[in-house]
Amino acid sequence: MPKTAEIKTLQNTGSKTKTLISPAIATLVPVIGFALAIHVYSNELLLTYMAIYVALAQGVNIMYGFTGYLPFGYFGFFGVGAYVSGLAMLNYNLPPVVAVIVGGLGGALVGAILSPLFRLRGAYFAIGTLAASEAIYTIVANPSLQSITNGPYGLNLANYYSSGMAYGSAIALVAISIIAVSYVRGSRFGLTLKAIRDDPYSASMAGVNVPRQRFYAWLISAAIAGMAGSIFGWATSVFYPQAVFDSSLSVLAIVFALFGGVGSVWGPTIGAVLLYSVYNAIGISNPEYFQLIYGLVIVLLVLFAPRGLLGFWNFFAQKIRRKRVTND
Amino acid sequence: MTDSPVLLRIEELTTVFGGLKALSQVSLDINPGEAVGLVGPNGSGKTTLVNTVCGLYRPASGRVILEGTEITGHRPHLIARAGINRTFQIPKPFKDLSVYENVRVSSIHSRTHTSIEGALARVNLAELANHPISELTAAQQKRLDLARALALEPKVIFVDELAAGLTPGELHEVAEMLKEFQSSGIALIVVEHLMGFLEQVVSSVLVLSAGRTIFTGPLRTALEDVEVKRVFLGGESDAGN
Repeated sequence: MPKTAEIKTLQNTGSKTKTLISPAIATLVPVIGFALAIHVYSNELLLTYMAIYVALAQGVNIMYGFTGYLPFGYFGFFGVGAYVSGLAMLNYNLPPVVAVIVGGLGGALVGAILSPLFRLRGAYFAIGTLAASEAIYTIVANPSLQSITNGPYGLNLANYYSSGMAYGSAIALVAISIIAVSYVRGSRFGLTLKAIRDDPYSASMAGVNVPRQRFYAWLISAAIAGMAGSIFGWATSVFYPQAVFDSSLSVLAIVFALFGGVGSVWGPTIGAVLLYSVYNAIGISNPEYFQLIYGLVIVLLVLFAPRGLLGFWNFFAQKIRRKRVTND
Repeated sequence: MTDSPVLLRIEELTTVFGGLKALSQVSLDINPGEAVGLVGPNGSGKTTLVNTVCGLYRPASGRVILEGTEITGHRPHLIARAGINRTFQIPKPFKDLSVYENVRVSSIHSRTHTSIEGALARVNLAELANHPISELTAAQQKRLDLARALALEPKVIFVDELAAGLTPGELHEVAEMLKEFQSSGIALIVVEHLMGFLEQVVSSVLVLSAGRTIFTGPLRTALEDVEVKRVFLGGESDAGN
């Protein structure tokens, strides 16, 4: 039987270095990639949207990958962020970067208001968040609120348009979201969330305040979506409510995260970059083929790689490792 | 009932599901280091009692008092932190975490950040600390439930069918382990069907039938009780011999 010191050693071997280096690489690679991409590919708006989707996929990762709650209504926070930051610019003349942060806070605030949805589980939670986000959309787009939200006519942020700044902010958000996921993954908080994901009651008997820990994850996730929506609105400059309260935003973010592999740091980034590239390569000119490919990707994911590309990779890496050990 | 030094007092606890009274005015006192058996046929309310005391179900009436403080209907994590914990009939490890990490979840939520290594050593799982859950047998997973409970510095543990499926040698080892817990002051409420195993661990039993208490007292006396024999032991009195 190993002694206490040996167990500690086994747990700690290389972990401190790994804890710092791995998240740094996972953050720097996409950040440098996006920074260089603009010199190779000139469509800055498209790259901005791709960065936004990377952040959204990481936001879904925090919620679904670490708590098991699938937020189909994730687009609600995105739309709230776009509107809160847009109105903050228009009404209070806030600098766009500050407005993006305010948009994130707006997303988190709505997340807090919707937290009673945690009484629901599984499909009921997914449907509940979807319904709540549709309700927010209906309120925002209501013509009788035109004096506040401009109703169905959307917002015009053309006076604040700065594609370079918006792109830089989107890259910063990618970094923030990856750092947030890295923190969650390597922290006690993340360990607790994983326990909750496996068995909430069992976790509570381990002393975990399950509703509170889920709530924190929900807030982080909502804040990321809020900031993503803010940058989207800023970069797009003129948008209508249906553009930012669009359920396909949630679907894309969820599929990107699942395709890459939830619960990991790299998975959602890889998933978002690959699938969004496919979307732009064929989705715009031939949307019908894109839908077909998308459907096939989802079916293949469910059948062969429920843990995404990274899960697939880990499975084979483990097999090779075991084979090597057996041969030795 | 005496006023002190009762550690846990369960007072006329009643739990109702819709129109069904799953638990009806069940009472039990337990002192530090004491071990009480909780027996009864399937559906008698044993697990309902555990779930109600541990906060999974809200009782319709009655009280749960730990060291003089009422904790009736508190949320499970508060009850666990207060000192009441449990294992599960079907073990519930956190499957994506290692053995060590499973216990760490409890340790980081304990008041004094208890020793993970110590908790694992007490249930003889120290050598498997770095293993994934998939490599553990069902019996080892049950002991992991115990280690998780121990890491939260419990005063009372409900031990739910820990002995099921064990070999005679393993049964003896588990019995010795539970006795060690008792000697450190932890009270045990042992839910068990194996009378032979119970005899090694507990001195008294609470027998439930259809949610009601039909006997409380020494195990030996229970085995001779006509009512107990009729509802429960009639067909199973040889099980543990």
